[in-house]
Amino acid sequence: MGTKAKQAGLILIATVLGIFFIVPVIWMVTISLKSDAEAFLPNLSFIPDDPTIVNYTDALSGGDLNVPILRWIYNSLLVSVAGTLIVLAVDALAAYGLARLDVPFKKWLLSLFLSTLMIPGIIWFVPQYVLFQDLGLIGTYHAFYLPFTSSAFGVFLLYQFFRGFPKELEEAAHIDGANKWKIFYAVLLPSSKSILSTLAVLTFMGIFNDYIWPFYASGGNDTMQTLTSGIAVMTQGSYVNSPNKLMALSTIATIPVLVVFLLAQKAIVRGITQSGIK
Amino acid sequence: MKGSLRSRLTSSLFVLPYFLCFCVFLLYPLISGIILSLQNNDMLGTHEFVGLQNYVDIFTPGTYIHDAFFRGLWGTVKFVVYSVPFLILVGLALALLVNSLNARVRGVFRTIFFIPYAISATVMATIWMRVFDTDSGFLNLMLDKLHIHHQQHIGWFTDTPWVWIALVVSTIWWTIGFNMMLFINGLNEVPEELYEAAKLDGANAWNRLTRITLPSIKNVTAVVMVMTIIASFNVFAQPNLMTRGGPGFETTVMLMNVFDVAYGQHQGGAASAMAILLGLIMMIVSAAVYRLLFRKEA
Amino acid sequence: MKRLNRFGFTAAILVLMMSLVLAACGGKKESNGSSASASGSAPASSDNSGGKSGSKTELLFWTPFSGPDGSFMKSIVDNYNKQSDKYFVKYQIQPNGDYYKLLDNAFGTKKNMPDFMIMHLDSIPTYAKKDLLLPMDDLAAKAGIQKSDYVEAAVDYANIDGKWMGIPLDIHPLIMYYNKDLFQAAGITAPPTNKEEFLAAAKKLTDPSKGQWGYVMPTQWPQQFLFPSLVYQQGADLADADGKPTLNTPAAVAALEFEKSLIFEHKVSPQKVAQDGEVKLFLQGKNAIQFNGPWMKDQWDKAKLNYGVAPIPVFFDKPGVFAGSHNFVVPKSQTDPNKLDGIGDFLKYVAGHSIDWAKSGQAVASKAVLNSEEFKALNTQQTEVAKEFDYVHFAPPVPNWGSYVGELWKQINLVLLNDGDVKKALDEAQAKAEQAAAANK
Repeated sequence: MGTKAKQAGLILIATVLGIFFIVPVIWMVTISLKSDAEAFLPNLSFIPDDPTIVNYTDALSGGDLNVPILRWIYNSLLVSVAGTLIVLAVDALAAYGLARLDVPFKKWLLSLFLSTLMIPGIIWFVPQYVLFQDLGLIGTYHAFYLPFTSSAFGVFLLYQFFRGFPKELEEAAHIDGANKWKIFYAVLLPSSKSILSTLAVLTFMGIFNDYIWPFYASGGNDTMQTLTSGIAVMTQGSYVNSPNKLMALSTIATIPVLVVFLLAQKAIVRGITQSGIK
Repeated sequence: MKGSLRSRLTSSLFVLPYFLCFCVFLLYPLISGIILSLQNNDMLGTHEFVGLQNYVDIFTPGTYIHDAFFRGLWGTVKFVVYSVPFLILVGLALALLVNSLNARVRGVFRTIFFIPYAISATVMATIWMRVFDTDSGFLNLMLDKLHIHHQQHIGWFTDTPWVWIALVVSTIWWTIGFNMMLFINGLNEVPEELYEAAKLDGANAWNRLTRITLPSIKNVTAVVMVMTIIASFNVFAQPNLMTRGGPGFETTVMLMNVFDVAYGQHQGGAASAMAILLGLIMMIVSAAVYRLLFRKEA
Repeated sequence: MKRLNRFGFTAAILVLMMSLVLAACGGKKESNGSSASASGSAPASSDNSGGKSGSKTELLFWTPFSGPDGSFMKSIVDNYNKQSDKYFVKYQIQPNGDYYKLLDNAFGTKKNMPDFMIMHLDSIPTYAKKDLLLPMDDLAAKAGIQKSDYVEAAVDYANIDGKWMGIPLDIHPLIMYYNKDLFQAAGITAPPTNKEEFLAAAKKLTDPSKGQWGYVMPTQWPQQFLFPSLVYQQGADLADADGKPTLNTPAAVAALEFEKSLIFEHKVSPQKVAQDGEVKLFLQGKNAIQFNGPWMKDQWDKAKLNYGVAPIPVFFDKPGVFAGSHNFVVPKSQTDPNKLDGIGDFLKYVAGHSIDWAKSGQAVASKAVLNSEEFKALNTQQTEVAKEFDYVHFAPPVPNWGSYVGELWKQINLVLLNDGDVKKALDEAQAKAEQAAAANK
């Protein structure tokens, strides 16, 4: 059975599936290029009769309400990047400790962290708001990303991965006299680029796409709003949406996330176990 | 040697930063939330301590909150059962597919399968409502052309079991990227040598999959499984935006009722109790499934 | 090894840099809102000290007018701000879907409370009974606002325990939209005004082979407006004078039976209509008549439909229609007399200048504007809507009423989808409503 034929077959399957995934997205972009006259027509055509970028220029200049959308984009990027870096650092350290080191009450801690993943967020949502109010953080950038640093997902994910790594490299470094910290950042981290990149993308997206918490975190300050929650205000009509404007804004909101994903792709390669431990 | 106080202290330092974030930003509000569930709190400033009354009410047949809880639970459980197996299997399948493509197209397809995950709930709902609408939806129009179900359009959002199919399909489209990425990372960690050795031994593709791949990705599968169960128990956007919990209350899920009790009935304490019970159920289910699949794991 | 060191090193530097950047600009607690005017930039907080030195008193105003509506209110606010040298209204839009969550949060935590806000008329009883709203009698008197300045129905409803709790902005009842092209093609010259005309027209306009329907029956939203209207037209209501739910009265049964008949007996509507199905078909020109709210105007205009507007037909004994209404309310915690004066001043202005709001398609509650030439010249929609003001009816003034009728909508949904037993469904709804009432004590 020729591998070329096999590849062709796989590509065929992937293409069919790909159509299912990408067509709705293309349709979303198509609508965003439609003028008002066309957008409200419920036809399913993919090519606008009269394509226009007015929805984009309108959105980027602030729209009817003159919103500071560029500032929002900046805010979103800032807090998402900051939050992601902190989450990566903090989670990797904790995961390594729990996976490899003699942390007291390891099992209890892990169970505690895991169980909080399972409590629906609505329970601590309002208390969290009150806490941030009391700390005087509402209206600051810190309010936007700090809640995400407490999520146990990254710890759990990295814990499972670190557990699965072969121990030989670490043991070799230990014999060479390296201490825990050195083993962590010189041996473990570089071998974890792939999973760290994935976690980075998912965390970035989580912070960037969250649109509920920023309402509370911004404390009503227009310029401190993030992109996705700002968009919710612009498009969540009293009862109706403006589909073309909604799609244009959504496309704008999706682009940064995609860029981050594409950038991270380079690191998502075959991991440490491929690097020849014989 | 391990076990010395000094060693344990330095080890603890690794966990400390996360532990601090956890305690301040999660544990403390969570405890407040638990206390909230022991109150009669209208979320508008009035509250009184009532102990376990909310929990008792949930288990007392005939009360509003009892019906809200168990109806919501039933809707959620159905969604979990219908969606989780697909979400895990399809995620794995896509990861296997992507990884077996040649290097040039691999990245393209990986991106294509992932993009929907970046899209907001409102847009997702707009898209799929256009697809599944009874009379003007894309799917039924296609079926019309093929003369299937021409007389009476399928009510994708108005009839059981079609409504579950519509919800699961749209959920897969929207969220499978997450599972796929985790599985891809897991697959990447499987040593190439194992496959080569197996091929030399004459193992075919199926054997390689079941004997090498699956056992080797146990760790990431555990993560995917837990996260998927959590996500499905927490489902809200899809039924809320697309089916409004219908037909009737068929797809009314727990979180919809929790919000209704909290903000419609203005009973924040009762809503909190409902959510906590949901969390406990999630823990039991996750632990049970985990033990079932990973019996030998520590 | 060098490469590995650098990786960790770079990461550490990045984290450090980020933290520094954030620490530097993270301290911004407030900054100027996007509204232009260069008046005092008081932070939007619970600080009630009446604004900054020398410049205007700032009044924080919350509305749920996200989406297309928002800009209409913004013009009103902007114009007011231009002509006032004492007060500055800071206009803040919250997303429509989450408005009450945010408002409740402000009430509950007593932080970031707006100075005054919009509230739906039928939500006022809930908040008034919890003593969270300030009676507006004094404020109105000082500003020269009288109850007779507004449409009676709204003012009467907002009169709770003898106090005037909310000043109305608009009233939005159910309204009939019809496709003029389809009407013309079927030879129908005027929109129907009663049940017989409606059935005759709908049947004429229905042609399943073309996929065209006379009246597509919604099974979810906006039943919340439609079903009660049919009940009111029989002189009945969904709750009695004591606030007890009455969802399974003969009038309710008759209303739902009629709705059901349109689908299964008269067949002027397709079956299994999903949420927004009737809107999509109307946009496609495949649905001749629909009942909806005035807010849909924007969508029809943009789709360039040739549509007409008229009051909904009288299907039963007398005219009656369900309506919502946006009102201005003030939180009880608002004690600053300077701010109260400002709020009164703004509301007085709105009473005379809400023509901008009318441009969004809403019919305003201010009689002054309703009777003005400008309003009458606007376009037919608003004048048709205003015709219904004589017989609008609002939801029962029962706190948390929404939770009483959650089940009702689900039962109606099931009956309309499955040709179910109407009495049984409404009995179920009644039982659940009583359960909600018990939980609300």
